[in-house]
Amino acid sequence: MCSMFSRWNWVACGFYLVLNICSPDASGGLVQSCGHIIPESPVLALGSNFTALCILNESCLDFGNIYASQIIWKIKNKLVPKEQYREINRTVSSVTFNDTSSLATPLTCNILADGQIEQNIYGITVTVGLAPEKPKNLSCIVHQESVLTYVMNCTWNPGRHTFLDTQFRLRHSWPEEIFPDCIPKDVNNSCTITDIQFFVNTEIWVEATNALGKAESDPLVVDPIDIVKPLSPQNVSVSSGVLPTVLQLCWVNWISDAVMMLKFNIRYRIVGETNWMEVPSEDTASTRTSFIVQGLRPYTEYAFSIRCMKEDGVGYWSDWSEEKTGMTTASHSPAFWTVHLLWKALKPFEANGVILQYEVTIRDKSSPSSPVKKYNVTSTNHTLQLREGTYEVTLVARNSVGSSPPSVLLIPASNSKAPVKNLRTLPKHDKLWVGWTAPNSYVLKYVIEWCLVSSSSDCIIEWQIALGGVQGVDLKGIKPFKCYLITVYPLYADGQGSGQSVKAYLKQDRPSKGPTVQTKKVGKAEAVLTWNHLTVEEQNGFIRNYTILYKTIDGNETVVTVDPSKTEYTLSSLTSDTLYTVRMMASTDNGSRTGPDFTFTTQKFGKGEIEAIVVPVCLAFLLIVLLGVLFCFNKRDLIKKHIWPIVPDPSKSNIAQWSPQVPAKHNFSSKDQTYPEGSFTDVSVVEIEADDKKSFSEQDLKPFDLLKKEKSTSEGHSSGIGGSSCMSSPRQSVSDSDEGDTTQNTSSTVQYSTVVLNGYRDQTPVQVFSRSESTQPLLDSEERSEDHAGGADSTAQRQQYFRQNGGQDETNTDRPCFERTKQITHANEGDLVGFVQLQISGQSSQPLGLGMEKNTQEAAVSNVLQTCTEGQTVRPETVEENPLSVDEMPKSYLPQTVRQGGYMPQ
Amino acid sequence: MKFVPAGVVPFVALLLLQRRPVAGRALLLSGSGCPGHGLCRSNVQEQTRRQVALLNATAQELFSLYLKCQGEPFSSESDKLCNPAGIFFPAFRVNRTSERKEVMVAMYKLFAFLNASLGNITRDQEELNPMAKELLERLHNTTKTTRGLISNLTCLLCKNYNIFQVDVRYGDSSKGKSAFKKKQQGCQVLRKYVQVIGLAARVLLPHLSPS
Repeated sequence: MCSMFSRWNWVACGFYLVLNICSPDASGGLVQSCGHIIPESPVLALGSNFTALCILNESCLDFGNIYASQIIWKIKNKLVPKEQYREINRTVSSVTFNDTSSLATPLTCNILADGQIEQNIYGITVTVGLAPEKPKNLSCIVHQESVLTYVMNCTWNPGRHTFLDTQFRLRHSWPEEIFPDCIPKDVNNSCTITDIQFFVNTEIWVEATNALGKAESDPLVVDPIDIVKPLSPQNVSVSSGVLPTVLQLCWVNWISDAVMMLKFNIRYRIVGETNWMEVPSEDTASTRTSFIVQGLRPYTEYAFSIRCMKEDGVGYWSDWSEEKTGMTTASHSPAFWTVHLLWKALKPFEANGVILQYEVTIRDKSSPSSPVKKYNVTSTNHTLQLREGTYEVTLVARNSVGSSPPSVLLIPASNSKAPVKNLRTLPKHDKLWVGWTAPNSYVLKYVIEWCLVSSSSDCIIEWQIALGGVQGVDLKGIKPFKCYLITVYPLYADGQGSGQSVKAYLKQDRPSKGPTVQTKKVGKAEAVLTWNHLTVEEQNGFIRNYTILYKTIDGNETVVTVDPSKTEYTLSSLTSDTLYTVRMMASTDNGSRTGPDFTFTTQKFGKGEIEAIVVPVCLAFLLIVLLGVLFCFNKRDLIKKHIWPIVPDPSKSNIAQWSPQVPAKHNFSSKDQTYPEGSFTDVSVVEIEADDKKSFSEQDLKPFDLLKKEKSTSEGHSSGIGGSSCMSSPRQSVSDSDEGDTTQNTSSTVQYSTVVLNGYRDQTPVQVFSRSESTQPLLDSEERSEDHAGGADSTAQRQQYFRQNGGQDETNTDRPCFERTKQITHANEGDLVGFVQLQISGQSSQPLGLGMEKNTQEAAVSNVLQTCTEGQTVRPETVEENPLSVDEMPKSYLPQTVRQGGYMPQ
Repeated sequence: MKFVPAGVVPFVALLLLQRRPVAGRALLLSGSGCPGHGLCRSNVQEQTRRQVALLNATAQELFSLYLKCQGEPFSSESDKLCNPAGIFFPAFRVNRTSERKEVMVAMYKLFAFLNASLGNITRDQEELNPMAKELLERLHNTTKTTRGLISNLTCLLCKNYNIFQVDVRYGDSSKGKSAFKKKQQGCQVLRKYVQVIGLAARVLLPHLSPS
């Protein structure tokens, strides 16, 4: 039926196939397919070869008239090259792939019936992957979770990615017992076994399985007790021991001794420090629940942490326990003193040779039975550690011949023995009696020392000895009005007691002079007075108090008594801007003496008062100035109108147009057009350095951008010669030109202007144009003056731009380029832009206004223009609207710095 | 030697063997022929000693906890109720001077019995005292330890004495008995276990200490 080649036959053939494939058969089945592929949904190893067979059903041969030769294979929608096909018989076609990496899903068997109608017969899913690799690096660790609970976590390297669903199973077994597998969840490289048993060798291994095969890791044989990581010791406590240098640690182990004997690490550090110290591991190498840490500093807070592991070192350390702190107790008083002995070397004539060494002998006077210590030193100092007590130090210098006499130094014990009590003095005629109360201990003797206290010399000590039973002596040779320092030492059988001192006078007098007072600081209502103590020689007795006396010139005297220990006092509640007189008096038991007067004047203003006045005034002044500036800025148009009246452009006047002499007078190429600089004293100028190229290009162009935005019809923007250049603009020039129409009828008021082009440096400007605000008719003298002024600045070193009514002046000595506008009758915005802009075509990129090397000021205007347009076309837009020839253009000149595609400053 | 799987499930099967004669028959097998010979290493002897020591260390606590969890009258009249005189318990007639082989065989019989009995007790307690977590945990751990111990003894008997089969007699099953009877039987077994395990530890020590 399908062999007919009519179009209708093809359609009928295809319809049959569709029916055959898709329609349920009579028996109730869903599909009676025309064929199938074997193998069905294969899983293939990556890189292997693969052959698939497509087998057609006989029924399709009968009814569909299709054969294996018509079979085509497709991967996804891509046709498999027919070279890979092989027709095995009329119902079977095979396709072979040498490398399964080129396979994709689905692989379909299709029939290409007559008429090139493609029908799908069957499709299979092809899965390509790799067999699992042997898992490697299997390792396990047993974590303790509680006293009785342990879990074993094993990890391994699963190997390469297989692209297939690969199952990993962790297995473990005893000799005749295999336990349930551990199946990893969400991972393929670790698993945790919860049911483990210690003290049995356990074999552990990993199995990896997928559709392409199975692989097993090397077995790990281990007793789980050997891979335990125990929990760290709990309930760690620290308690101070009997000694101040020890602390006792106690803790609880999670593991019973029956399961595992432990060893420990104990680390500790001073709280606040970062460095840990460790107890020697050999001291904690056995199971225990406490440890005494020794060698600690007294009265110091320590932090401790403990960890443990199996006693034999097989397994893993636990984590460090939580830190616990404890403080050692305070120790006894310092046991030693560090004594530095210093002595001077003998002078050569004293040494009688080279001193070979010094012999230092230490004898403990407190303990006569103690051995004498000897030290031989070569330097002139020695350091000793001595216990509390009294020591006798003997120093002997030795040379090659012998020894020097000993130099003895007694180091008494510090406060080792009680002093006398209630030391007191009492003058008795010309003697000074010193009395005391004996200490409780038995005293052999008393040593009474005294010396005259002097501010200029050391205290020269005199002394005498009194027997132990005496409790008072008379000191002889004591001078009146002099201060004496008296010290009494008790001598005990085992050493010297500490001394007790008292100052005393045999007789007192009033001070020999009064204190000199002066001000340290003077304020509005207070003054700080300061003075020096009287010297001991000036005091003549014990100063009991100081008295400050101060008064105003006409006021009452005020008296203040001050403690004798002070040297400063603050007078308060003074009157401002007032003269005070102050003096000071020192008093002893026998009288007073006043020092010199001192005057001072309190201040008129207190601290900060002046600032409080000046600052607000300044701020107010600044505010007024600021408001004035803002007002002027807002009313600038009005102000300008009053100060700078509008001046019509003379060049637009009827006279300028009418008079045939005018062009001749403005001979732009003539040297005579230069004007003296003095002619423009009233003209504001902008000076531009000749070598400042930017000023000719970008910077100078900016004002024109601004000016373009302004309306040219505003009279207020006009400014005459002599006015400020700030208000000048090229547009105003045009504006003035607009007014030319009106000036045509104004014969009585002629306005004219001239642009003056100064020469660059020593060069003569080639163009001159100036503008006058005069409303007077043109006079010959004025015209001459203008003409003359145009060439005056031949020696000018800088270019100058006149910013008046567009009359800016620029001298371009290289390529002087001027634009002349005879008349501008329609001064709109576009005209303004066109007026100031030169259209430049051609290749030159040289900014015309920047070339200054050549001195071409002699050139005529036509020549200038020719020069200017050399190699390019320079054409003011206004020329288009006012198609006048250059010669016919009126005398309004705009010196321009031309920049290709840019604007010219005007 | 028949390998006796531990736990509750094999217990039923083991019951079938309980009336078998006790016999240990030596077969001439090389050490490499022992099951799992790769795991039967030199450390097994020490492992066995540690296991017995562990059981000995925990037996009394287990027994006390068992009594506590059974409530009255067991906690107050344990001497009377838990007297093991009336129950079967493997004879452990070895001493320090006994031959090591004899000790090993006796140990195997003892712990095979204990393993089965502990399995039964655990099963009963899961039914009677499901909330006694600590008791159940200790029973599980003890049962597991006896399993490991049996495995190690199997290794030692086979490796050192070529004994691969030991006939073991087990006790009566508690299945089907009343709750009281179950508790009592467990109590009797555990009491006897406490007594015997101490003896075993003492006997085993010189035999398994590293020479």
